[in-house]
Parts: sequence; structure tokens; C-alpha cells
Amino acid sequence: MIRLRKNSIQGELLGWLLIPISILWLVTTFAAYSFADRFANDAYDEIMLNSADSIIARIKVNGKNVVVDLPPAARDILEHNDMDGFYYDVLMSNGRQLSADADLPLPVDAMGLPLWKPKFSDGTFKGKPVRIGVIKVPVKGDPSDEVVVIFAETLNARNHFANQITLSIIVPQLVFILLSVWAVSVGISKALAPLKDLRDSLQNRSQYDLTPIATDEAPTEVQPLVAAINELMVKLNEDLEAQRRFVGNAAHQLRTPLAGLKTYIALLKRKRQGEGQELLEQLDVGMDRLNKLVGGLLSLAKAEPSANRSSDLAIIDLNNIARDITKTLQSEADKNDILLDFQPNSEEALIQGDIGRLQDLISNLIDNALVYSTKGGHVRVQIRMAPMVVDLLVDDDGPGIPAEERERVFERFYRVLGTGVEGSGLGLSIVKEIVIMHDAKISIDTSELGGTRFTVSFKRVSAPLVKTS
Amino acid sequence: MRILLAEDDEFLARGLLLALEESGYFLDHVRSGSDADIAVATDVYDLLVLDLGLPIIDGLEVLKRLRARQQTVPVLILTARDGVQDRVQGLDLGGNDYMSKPFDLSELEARIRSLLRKQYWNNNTEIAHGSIVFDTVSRRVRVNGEPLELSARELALLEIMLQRRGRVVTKRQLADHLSNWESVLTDNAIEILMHRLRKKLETTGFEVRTIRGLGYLVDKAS
Repeated sequence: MIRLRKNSIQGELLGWLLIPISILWLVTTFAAYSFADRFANDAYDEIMLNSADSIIARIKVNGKNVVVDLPPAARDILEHNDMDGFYYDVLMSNGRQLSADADLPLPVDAMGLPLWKPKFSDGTFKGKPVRIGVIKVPVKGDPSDEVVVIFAETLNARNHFANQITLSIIVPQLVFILLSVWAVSVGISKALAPLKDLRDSLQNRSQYDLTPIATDEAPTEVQPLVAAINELMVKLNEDLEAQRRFVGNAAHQLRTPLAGLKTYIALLKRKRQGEGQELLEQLDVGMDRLNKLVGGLLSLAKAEPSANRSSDLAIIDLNNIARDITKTLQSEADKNDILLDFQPNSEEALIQGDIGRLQDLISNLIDNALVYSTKGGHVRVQIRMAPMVVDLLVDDDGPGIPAEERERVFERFYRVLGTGVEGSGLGLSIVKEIVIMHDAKISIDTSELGGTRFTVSFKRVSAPLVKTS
Repeated sequence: MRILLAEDDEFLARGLLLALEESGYFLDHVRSGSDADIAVATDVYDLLVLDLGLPIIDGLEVLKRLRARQQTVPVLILTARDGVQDRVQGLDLGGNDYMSKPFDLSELEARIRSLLRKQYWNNNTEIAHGSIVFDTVSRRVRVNGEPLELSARELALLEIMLQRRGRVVTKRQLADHLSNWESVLTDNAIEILMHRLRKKLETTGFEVRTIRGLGYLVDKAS
């Protein structure tokens, strides 16, 4: 048994597409966020520096003291947005605090900074994350002295800005990914459609149809598969053919010794009038059974798949065949006092079929009915018509077949239990083969006569077609 | 009546030889198509029982060659194949009848009789000649309704003479139809046989005339 991995091709392809795309998406999200954060900081740092400049502009030398002249009204201007708080401290270079607005933490190297070069960093103030800037400037009017301005603001605005940028990048990306998943799914199922078609065409085949699958319509990738299936079909066909030939040949080979045995039995019967006649009769019965079995095997070999290719199909009136066969089996029925009657249809029951095989089919069905009918029984053959079908019905008043055994009677060498009937055990399997060969259907029901009813439904052929025979 | 049996299966052939010889026919047996071809070309047979599945050349070919030589000997085909096609081909090539194996011995015998009847008796089952009636089915002779006991050879001789009423039958012709390869009738033996037959038919008015230097003659019934 070959093990096939159960992964679906669709899932596999989607996986291979989605996993890298998702990783890529995560990476770009991360990158987008860090870029956005930097842009936001750069932009807001600049604005914050403007506020710091305003403070610096208010630093004056008042006599000997340096002061920050920042009236409360002006202070509000420094807060350039509503979302964030702005804080600042101004320190003399010796550490003296000139303005005690906030008491911000002094960055470590603030005192060593070059003049007019602001420096920004992240920190916390009053438990909130803040952006802290520090700049060192000379005191206006006293160039020898320097002051350090520390300023800070909370992060709400810049975070908001960074988030906006990030979202504006990743949301379209997400949409794009979803779209591509959809497109790929659709694409894959379209691409896999030929495989589905292949499956359907294989599923709908009869087990006897071993003709190659047409390769021209399959896509390039599926062609090797189709070719492999076709190759298998050819092998199967050859195998079946060989088996069929073997059965056929074996049956033929059996006939000559059978003929010999029959001849000797007949000779012995003539020589031994009286004594042992009964035994010889039994031998004859056995020979006839053996002969029927051989005939059945041959018939089966002929009915099997490859045989129907060589058979010539013709449009025929089923009434005629059924009438002929019923007539030939009349003597058989008479032997056991069985009433065998045939009810033809008044219309032409035209079907397409192989006359020889149809004769086999009908005679096997009638034979079967005769065998299972008791002395003085009744077997009825009917042809019924419907707009699309022609039904052949064979009824008997025998013991009937229990519902649970009905499927099994078509198996080779199967006999309905407890009937003790002698037959080749091949008749109904031959019937089944011929039914399949004619694309017909067979069913078993309880007959109005009390026994079994076999119904074979053929496709009806409409009359205007040219009759070939 | 002399029959050639062309059948390669020894088992079946022996049975058929036993049965047919018992019925009073003289039989030769060949096991291949080529032997059958040579035998029918060189010897005189009243009937050929021909199996189709013969080695070397098959039965159909034997039949084809036979008819190509304008030989009219009736042919009963035996075959293990029962396809319509085989049957049609066999009959179309000049076969006169057809039996599928396995067959019933009595049916085979009946068909042989039927073929011979057609060939020699114009399909009549009973041949009357004067007070003699020859029943081709039971192969019995009645004289004025009373059965007459004849040996197989005597009966065969009578049969040939009746077949050729009004014609001279040579000893060679008699030997051809009353012999097989195993026992060839000499002229002397034929004379003895004829003597015995005449004796048994003495009182019936059935007369076989000796045509000196040529053979025997039974006049057409007047």
C-alpha cells in the first residue's frame, strides 16, 4: 500500500504563502513603529525646543542677578498642545535654580553640554513617561555666565502621532494580505479544478471502462498523473484480457474431455442394459452440470469488459429475443410441469444491445426461475415499456429470495441457502455482467406470483433510428 | 460406410471410434490436419468428422482444401468453440453440419446418419427394393416385414449395392467403402462376402449380378 501524505495541496500552498507574508508583516509593523516613533520625536522635539527658546528669551540680567521673567500668562503659551503638560527648570551653571517651575531631574552630563546644542532623552516625571530636553545657553548681557534650561513634556501627542503613522502603514498592508489570501485561495481552487474533474471522471466510470482518460485537456502538471493512471488502466486491461482469455481457453479445453466422457458414458449405457443404469444416469447428470458450468464460465468470459468492445451492438426489439428464448426453454419448463408464459409488449421494445449476450441474459434469468420453481409452478416473462426505459420482468412462484440475500445472488457460485438447488452458480453473475455491459439496471423484488421478480431496465431507443438488424 | 475421423484428442477419438464402429461404420483416424488432408485426398470416404482445433493445419484449412479439390464428401464439424462466427465460417467453407463439444453421442450418430442419408438416399429414411426394406435409421433389413439378420459387413455391402442400384460397382470400390487402414478387404474376401449375402437373400428375389471383369450390379427396381 502506497502511503500518500494527507496534506491538502490548497492548505500547503496557502501555508507556504501565508507564513512568510505574516512574518514580513510583523517585521514591517515593528519597523514602521520605530520609524514613526523617531519621526514623531524629531517633530515634537523641535516644537518643544521652540518653547524652550521662548523661555531662554525671557532670561535677563537684573542688576547683578540673572532672572527668568516669565509671567503666568506667557507660561500657557509654552504648552503648545492640550494633551500634554509642559515643564521646565532653569539652572545657573553653578547649579543655582533660577526658576522652580517643576524640579525636573537634571540629565547627567547637562553641565558639560556645548552651547546652543540641545539634547533630548526619555525619562519619567511625577510617575509619567516624559521627553526631556536640555540646552545650555549664554546669559544675555553677561556673556561670561551660562544657564541650563531643562524642559520636558508628556508623550501623549507624540505617541498619538506615531500610532497614526504606524496604522496608516500597517492597515493597508493587512488589507493587502487578506486580499492576497482570498486571491490565492480562489486561484488555487481554480488551478486544482482539473484534479477535481479527474476525480469526478474516475468516480463516474463503470468498473469495466478501462479506456484511457483524455490527456489533452489536463494541465501540464496533471498530465503525468493522468498518464500514470492511463498506464495503470492499460496494465489492468491487459491483465483482465489475459484472465478472460485464460478462462475462455480453459473452458474450451475442458469441452473435449467432457465430450469424451459423455461418449464413454453413452457407450457404457448401451453395453449394460439394466444393471447400473441408474448410476450411469447420475454420471450423465454430473456431466451435464459440469458442461453447464463450463458454458457459464465461457459466457462469463465473453460478457466481461474487454469482450464488449468487439461485440457488435445493434438496435433490437427485446420482444423478439424474449419470445425466441421463451420458446426454446418451453420444453425445459414442460419437464417439470411449469407454466412458462411470455407477455410481449404491443409496442416495439427497441433497445441497443448485443443479441447473443441478450439471449444469454434472458435464458439465464428464465433458467434461474425454472430451477427455483417447484413442480407445477409458474414462470412469467414480460416486457414493459415506459417513455425512457424498456423493462424485462421475469417472475416465478418459487420460495423467493430474502431481502438480505438479494445483492449476493449476483456473486459467482452463490446459491440461495436452504434451497438445495442444482445449478452452475454462475447464471446470475453472467446476467449481472451482461446488464453492466448494456448499461442497464437489474433489481430483485417480490413477485406478484409469490416468488422472485427480476427486473432488468434497459434504456429505450426511440423508433426512428435506423435498424441495423 | 467409411468415415474419416480427424480428432487430435486421443481420449475422445477412441470413444468415437468404438461407438461408430459398433454402429457398423468403417473408420480411419487421423490426429492432425495435415494427415486429414492427405487421407481425404488419397482415400475414398463417405463422411468426414472434422475437429476444427487440429494441429499443424486447422480444420477450417482442411475443409478449404477439400472443397478446392471439388471433393463432395459430406463434412460434420466438431468444435469446442461455440461462437456464431466459427459456426458460420465452418458452414460457409463447405461444412455440412456442426456439433459443439460436448455433444450427445446419439445426436452425433443421428447427424451422421442424416448426412449420409442426404448424400446417398435423397433424405429417405427407408429404402425399399423389391421385397426388401432397408431402414437407414436402425440399419436393419426387413424382408416382407420380417427382420433379416445380417452381419455388419454384409449389411454394409448390401447398403452400397442399394446405393448404386443400376450402376456397376467394382471390387475396388467395394473395398474402398468396406475397409479401413487396419483391415483391407481383398478381392477374395469380397467374393466370399458377396456369396454370403446372396445366400441370405436367396429367397427374397433380390439379385446381385456379376459383371465379369467389371464388378457387380443390382438392377433398378422394376
